[in-house]
Amino acid sequence: MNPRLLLAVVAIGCQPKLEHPEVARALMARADLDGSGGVDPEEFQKVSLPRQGFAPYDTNHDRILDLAELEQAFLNTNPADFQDEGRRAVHEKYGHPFGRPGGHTKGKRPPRGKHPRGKGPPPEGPR
Amino acid sequence: MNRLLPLLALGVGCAQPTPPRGIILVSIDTLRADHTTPYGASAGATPTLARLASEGTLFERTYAQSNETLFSHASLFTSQLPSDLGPVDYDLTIPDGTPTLASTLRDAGWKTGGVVAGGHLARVFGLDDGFDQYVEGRRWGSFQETEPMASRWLADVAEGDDPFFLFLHSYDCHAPYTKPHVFGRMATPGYDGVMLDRVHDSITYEKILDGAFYPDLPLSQLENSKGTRILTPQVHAQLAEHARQPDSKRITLSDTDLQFMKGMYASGVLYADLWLQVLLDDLEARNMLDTTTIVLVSDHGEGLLDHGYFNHRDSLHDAATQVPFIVWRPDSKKAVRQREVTRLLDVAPTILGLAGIQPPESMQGVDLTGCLDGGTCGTPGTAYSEGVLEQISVTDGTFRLTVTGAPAHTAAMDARIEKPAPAFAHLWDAGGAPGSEKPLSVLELDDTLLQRLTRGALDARSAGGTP
Repeated sequence: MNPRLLLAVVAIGCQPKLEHPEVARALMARADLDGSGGVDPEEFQKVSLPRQGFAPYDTNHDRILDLAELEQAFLNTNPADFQDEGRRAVHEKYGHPFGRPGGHTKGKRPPRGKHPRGKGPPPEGPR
Repeated sequence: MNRLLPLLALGVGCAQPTPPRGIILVSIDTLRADHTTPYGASAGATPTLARLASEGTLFERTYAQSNETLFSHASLFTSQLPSDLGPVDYDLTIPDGTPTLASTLRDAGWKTGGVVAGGHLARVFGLDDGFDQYVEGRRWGSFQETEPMASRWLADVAEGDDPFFLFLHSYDCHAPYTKPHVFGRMATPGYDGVMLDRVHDSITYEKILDGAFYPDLPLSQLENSKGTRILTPQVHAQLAEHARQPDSKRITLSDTDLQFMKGMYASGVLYADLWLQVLLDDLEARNMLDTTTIVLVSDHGEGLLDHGYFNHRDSLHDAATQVPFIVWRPDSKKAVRQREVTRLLDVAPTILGLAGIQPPESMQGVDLTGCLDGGTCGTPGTAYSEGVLEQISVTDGTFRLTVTGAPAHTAAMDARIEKPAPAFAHLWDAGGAPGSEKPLSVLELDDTLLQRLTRGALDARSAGGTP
């Protein structure tokens, strides 16, 4: 078998599939403001967060996000990563809320005693 | 022997409805009831919830027993008040041996699965007790992560015939309101103001008070016994003090800025609703929808500046405690709306009632299965809640009494409830929409009403059998 063909088959077989394309379809329906069947940069700008640039999702560079590209965007973006990335960007721009990345001021916890059901200190006596 | 058979036999003997094959409890974290379609928001806000409500039982006045994820879910799972499980702080762990919804179902032969989005639902808090499988997504995650994991679990149980219970959770509505990551501004297109990028940082929400943003508010963290760093819970008091200082940097937020923030919240609500539709589609595709009961709740609401603050930790008003509660049964497509005051405490006994299982004695809530088709539910008529900031509250659905200044689990708080004084007790007319509560004077309060509220709070606090 042609090794190139074999690689292509393996690549297709290994490609992750979006388990729920209906979510991508539902969002496409909301973003496709002119009903053209795709999302252009202007439409994207209106409904997307700016930090998520249009270009990374437009994999065929036709300046239209079609459904396949949107599904791919979901596959490639973990919500937790997206949050982390956004938070980091805010901290870089405005400074870290606790002074330095990863640093913090530790508060003092009150001493813990025995709760009637095994938990913690009733500072003013358990009820 | 099929484990369903004894349950079926029991059901026939007691003329109870046949238990469903499966029950799914969905908790959409931080979902304010009044921001969903069936509770008064626009038709496009949550179309899937609207469908569930149009074919099921909606409880109009359900209140969470806390305004924070950890305590509210601990209460939801055990049907006990948070303070009956331990002091209401971020070290709370469900004590070993406490019967939970999942453990009771598992002991009765049900397969139990939990798929949660981490954070304060991490298993380190003991919330995994009773689950055959308890899968944590990454912290503060989305249905985008948890629903597919739940779908795989459902695929496994679909192959057998055991009854099953699934708990599914997400933080799609929780700050920062950026979960719908590819299209995040569906509700607020075109905004380009001062909060545009700041909305990504959950700290931003802690620095907003009464429509102003205080970027230089100094913050501190502490480390709980689980090794998790959390923001000092008293940040709201620090913010109020900071706002009073004349030299504090202050950015006044315009209506457009605030609409953007609230619109981002609405986008998260809509995104969660989309995934709920995905769950229903999943069940249908697996031929499980006809045999599965779905119970939908949230653990608390969100302030959205209704009482000065953006988040939910700072008050126990309706905005932070009134939550959606819908029971959708495959064999009953009738829309029922219950007006009686109900509580998240009632969810576990109700699910056990649907399963044909007697709730353990430790559970303080009421089995509502008898009123799913109408009629009276037999609840106490008041709902009691506790917060992490030395605050408790009780409401009868029209009036709300809040008491502050002592930890929820202490005798000092009992004393304050028994003799409410204006220095620490506040009464509100809460008969209108969340956010429209009007302060009343405790001193001018009708004795009968005050006694009813204080009695409701004290009865709730004593229901746990505290020595």
